[in-house]
Amino acid sequence: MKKSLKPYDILKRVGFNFMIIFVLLYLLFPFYWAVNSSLKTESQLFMTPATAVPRDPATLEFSPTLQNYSVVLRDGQFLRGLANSTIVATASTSLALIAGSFAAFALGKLRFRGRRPALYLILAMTMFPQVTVLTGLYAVITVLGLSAIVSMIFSYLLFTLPFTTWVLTSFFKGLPNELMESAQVDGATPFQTFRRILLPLTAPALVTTGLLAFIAAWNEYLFALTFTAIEPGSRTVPVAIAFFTGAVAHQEPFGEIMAAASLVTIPLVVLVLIFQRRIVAGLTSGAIKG
Amino acid sequence: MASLDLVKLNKIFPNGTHAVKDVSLKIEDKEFVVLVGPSGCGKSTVLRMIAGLEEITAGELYIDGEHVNDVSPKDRDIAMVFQNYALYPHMSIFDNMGFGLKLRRMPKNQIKEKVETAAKILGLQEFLDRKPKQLSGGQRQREALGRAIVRDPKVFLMDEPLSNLDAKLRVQTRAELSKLHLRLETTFIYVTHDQIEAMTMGTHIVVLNDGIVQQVADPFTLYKFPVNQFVAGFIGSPQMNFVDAKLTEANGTISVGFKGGSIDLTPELSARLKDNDRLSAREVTLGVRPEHLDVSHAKGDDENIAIVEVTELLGSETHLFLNLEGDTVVARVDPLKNIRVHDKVKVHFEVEYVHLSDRESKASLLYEENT
Ligand SMILES: Nc1ncnc2c1ncn2[C@@H]1O[C@H](COP(=O)(O)OP(=O)(O)OP(=O)(O)O)[C@@H](O)[C@H]1O
Ligand SMILES: [Mg+2]
Repeated sequence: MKKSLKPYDILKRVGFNFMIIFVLLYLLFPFYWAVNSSLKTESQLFMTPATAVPRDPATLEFSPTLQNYSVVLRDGQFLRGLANSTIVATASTSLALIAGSFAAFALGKLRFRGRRPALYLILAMTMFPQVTVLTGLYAVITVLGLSAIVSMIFSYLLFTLPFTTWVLTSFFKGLPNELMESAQVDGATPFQTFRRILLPLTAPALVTTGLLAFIAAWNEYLFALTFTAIEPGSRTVPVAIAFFTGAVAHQEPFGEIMAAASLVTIPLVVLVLIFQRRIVAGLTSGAIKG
Repeated sequence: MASLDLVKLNKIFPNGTHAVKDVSLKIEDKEFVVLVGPSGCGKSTVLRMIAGLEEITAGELYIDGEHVNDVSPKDRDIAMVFQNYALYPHMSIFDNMGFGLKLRRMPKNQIKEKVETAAKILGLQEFLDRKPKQLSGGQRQREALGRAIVRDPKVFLMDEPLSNLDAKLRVQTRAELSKLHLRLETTFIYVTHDQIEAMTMGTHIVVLNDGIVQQVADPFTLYKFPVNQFVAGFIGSPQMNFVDAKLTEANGTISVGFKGGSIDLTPELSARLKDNDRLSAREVTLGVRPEHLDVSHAKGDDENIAIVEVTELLGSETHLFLNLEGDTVVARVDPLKNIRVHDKVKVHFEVEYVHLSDRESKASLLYEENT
């Protein structure tokens, strides 16, 4: 039996799907355009009108090229940048997760004086625009004589740590108190309770916040640009790309930049794919009655 | 193994709720103490204070003579079954039960042995490698019990550990717990709102109401000599009947008059009453248990006559809801008696078992210390 749809319902469905398509286009177009451009040669890039896929300027045949990628992958600066980015993003994400989960456990589950002010202070840390903190940070780093890599790791904590702490705090708060109490009665110390009982249960939140922190650190540009100004060997990938000179002198290497940009998103996509299976909801089901 | 001493324990929650009021209790080593009372009377709170999970607002708590007000739960050497289970959702049943032992660095093979024994007692052998969410409510509750009984603590605290089991399993587990208590020779403190559990399992029963201890006694004393109307009504099923009445004294006999009739007290009960002055015309509440009422078909009598309003046939017994001149009383009678709805019956009181309490203070007039 077929359900007859009222005109209003049809309209609603069409509108809904239309909106989805619009959002998808809006989100994916920049990425698509980067990939498209990265597959074009210099001359293809300057064709007017721009083509939706790489085409031969004379015959308009479909003819993509991997030349940009091969140049980028042989570029020492870029590879160096990849390594630096990996180090910086991994280190600052791990630090943020470790410190953040400890802080979140305390803020979410322990009772102490000044808990609420502490929470708001942490949130306030994220409110200043990056540019305003930059000068101060730069001065601190110069005085301490920190290397660019270490400076980036610590300055990225400035935005990853408050964020992870906030998200994890609300997550810890949501875990049933009885689990903690039950562990206490079983003879666990607060640290054992945290490590053996609560932390495994926050795994989904750890994965999610970890991913977001990693992406933020991976793509960060302003701090990286400033701190590596006198240390070009420590440039992270976004900075390295910006400093591309290209194979041909006095010419913006647009295709290569696009190839590099497409390449740096791959690790992020892979990370998300690996961890998405661990983002399982309802991990605490079965813990308590009702 | 331990004795406990609760001295004027009080709990006032931050929101102002005064949940536990001056609770004093002496619990001997190896006792099976049951805390009973209606929902919200503070049973769980008392238990949680003993466990150390709830700060003691005022009063002292001693375990084995040691002052433990400020001792953390993990150092009190207690095991607790939580009202809502509190199982570790990411661990298998085996690991859930073994967690406390593992923390105490017990060797692996010993843990295995202990957990398997407990699982056997509770009928959980087949579920040992499942996660809590893969169990039914009753199985989870048994797992929560298992987590406590693998331990060898000074005191067992159990908060309604059988509430989610079906009737058959409940009777079974009740017996298992009693056996366990005999075998482990450990102090048990058991919370329930089910008075049958309380009566069948407890060596001592503590009746709580509104955060106040009403009476502490063994099951028989509690049934026979309730200290006030609350305890009288709480213990026993179906509930004791209460009827407004007035005392009169004539020729040395005290009689209790109520709307639908009157009864004369036995000399023994009169003697227990007599030191209460102002007997005559005193306003009292007459309490009589359904099992102490009987009926016969009315044959022209004029006193204690009632109309049968509802009959409940339970097989082994029949409950009759009687209208005694406006007072509804329940009688528990022989099912073979041929009584039907709308029948007019005469109500017989087993006078030696009636209770009398003051109408205002609700305190029993027949209660005697050390009876
Ligand atoms: N954390 C709390 N804050 C404020 N009031 C509370 C808190 N916990 C319990 N109470 C109150 O204290 C009283 C006693 O609660 P408790 O849990 O001890 O009752 P209970 O006797 O165990 O009841 P039940 O049989 O329903 O489990 C209740 O009135 C309850 O509302
Ligand atoms: Mg309770």
